[in-house]
Amino acid sequence: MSRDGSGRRDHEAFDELAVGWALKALEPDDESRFARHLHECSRCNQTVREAQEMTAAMAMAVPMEQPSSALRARIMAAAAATPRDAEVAPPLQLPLRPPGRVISSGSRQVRPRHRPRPRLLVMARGVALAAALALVVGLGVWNVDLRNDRAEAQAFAARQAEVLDELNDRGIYHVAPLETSDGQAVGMVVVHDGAAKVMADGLPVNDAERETLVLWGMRSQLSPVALGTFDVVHSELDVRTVSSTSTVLDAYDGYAISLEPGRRAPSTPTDTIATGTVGS
Amino acid sequence: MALMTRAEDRSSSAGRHADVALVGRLTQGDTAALEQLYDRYGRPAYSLARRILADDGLAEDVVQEVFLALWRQPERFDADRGAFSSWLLTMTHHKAVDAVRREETLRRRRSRAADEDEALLGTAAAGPDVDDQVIRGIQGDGVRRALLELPDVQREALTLAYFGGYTQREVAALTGAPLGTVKTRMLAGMRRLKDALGGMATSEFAFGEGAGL
Repeated sequence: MSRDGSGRRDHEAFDELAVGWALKALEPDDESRFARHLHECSRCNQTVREAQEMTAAMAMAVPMEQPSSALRARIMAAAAATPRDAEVAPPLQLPLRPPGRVISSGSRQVRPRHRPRPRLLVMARGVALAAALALVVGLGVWNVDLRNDRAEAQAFAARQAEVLDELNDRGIYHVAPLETSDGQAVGMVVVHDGAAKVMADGLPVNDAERETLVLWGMRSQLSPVALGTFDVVHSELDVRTVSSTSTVLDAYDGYAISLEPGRRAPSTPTDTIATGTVGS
Repeated sequence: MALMTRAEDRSSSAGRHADVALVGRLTQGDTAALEQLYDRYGRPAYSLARRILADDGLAEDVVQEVFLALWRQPERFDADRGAFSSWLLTMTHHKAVDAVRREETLRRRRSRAADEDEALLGTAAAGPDVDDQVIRGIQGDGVRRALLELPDVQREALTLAYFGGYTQREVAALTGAPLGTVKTRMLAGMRRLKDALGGMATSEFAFGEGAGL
C-alpha cells in the first residue's frame, strides 16, 4: 500500500511496477502484466504520472551540455521535409513481396503459391510464428524444423490455448504476413470466419490508454478501410483479437497496421508501421 | 525585477502555459513554434540523452527523433495529463533507452557510469554558464539534494535504471540484490523523492493523498 495506512497493501506490487514502468525498466513479463493493469487502474495512471514528474525533475538536474549548433538546423530541415501526420496521411503502398496464402483447413492442406519465405525458416521468431500458425489452423503439415524451437512453440501454444481452440475449426483462412517498411517480419494477420486476429511478433507495444493499433483493409485503387482496433501489450509473440464492427474482413488484397493517437481509428492511417498482402 | 531566465520560464506557470500555446501552434504547422520549443527544451533533452547514451552523435539522433515526433504528432501531448516538459523528457528518456539497448553501448557506458554518477551527484559540475546555474539553483540543487538524501541503495537503483537505462533485472545483477528488493527500493526511493520534491515548481500534480506513490 501507499503510506496512508488505508489498507492498500495488496496494491503494493502494482505500485512497484508503476515506478518501473515510468523508468522504462520493466522486464517483458512485468511490462505485459502491468500494461493490462494500467489500462484500467486510475491509481496506477496517477502513480506513473507522478513518477514521470520526478524523473523529469531528475533529467533537469543533469548538468547541461550543448548539442552541436548544426542540430537545430538539421531538425528544422527535417521538419520542413516531413509532413505533419494530421496534414497529409502518408501514402500507403503495399510493398512488393511474396503474397500470403489462403489456407484451407477443411482439406487439411496448405496451398502456398510460393515457397515459404526463407526468413520464416531461418529465424527463430519466424519459425515459432510459422509453427504457431500451423497450430492455430490445426494443420501440422508445415514443413518447419521445430527441433530448436519446439519449446518456444509449445509455450506459445499453451499461452494461446483458448485462441487455438477458437480458431481450430474448418474453413478458409486469409493470411497476410506483416512486414515493416524496412522488411522486418513482425507477425501476420489471420482472418477467419468473420473475425480478424493479429499475430504480433515484434509489433510495438502501444500505450493502451492513449494509443491504439488499427487494422486497415487494403485494396488497389481504394482508400484504406479501418477494420478495427487492437492493443499490443508485450513484445513477445502473441495473438491479439481485432475489435471490429466490420462484417466483411476478408475482402481485401492486403492489410496494414497503424499506430494511432487516441483510442479510435481515424479516417485515414497516420503512422503505418506494417503492411502485408494476401494471395489471391 | 530581473528578467525571467529560460530555466525559470520553463518551470513557471506562465512557462507551462507558453508551452501549451506553442504546441497548439504546432498543430497548425507553425515551424517557428518548433524552433521555440527546441530553444526551450533542446538542450535539456540533449543533456539527458547524452547522459544515457554517452555518445554525442547518438544523443543528437535521439533529440532529432523526439522533435520530429513532436512535429509530426503534436496532438499526442495532452496538457491535462501533465507538463509539456515532463512529457517531452519522458519521451526523450524512453527513446534514449531504446537506443542504448539497441546500440549495445553497454561496455562503454559501464566504464563511464561510475565517473558520471559521481559528477552528477557531486559538486564537480564544471564550467556552467549562467543559465545552468539558474537551473541548478531552482531545480538541480533540490533534486541533487533529494537524491543525496536517499539511502544509498535506493539512489543506486533509481539512477542505474533512469540514467543507466538498465532494466530492473539488470539492476539486480549489477547490485547483487534480489529482483524483488530492487523493485521495492525503486518504489521507496521514488516515494522519498516525491516527499522531497513534491512542492517544487517542476510538478503540476497535486500528489493526491493516499494515491500514487
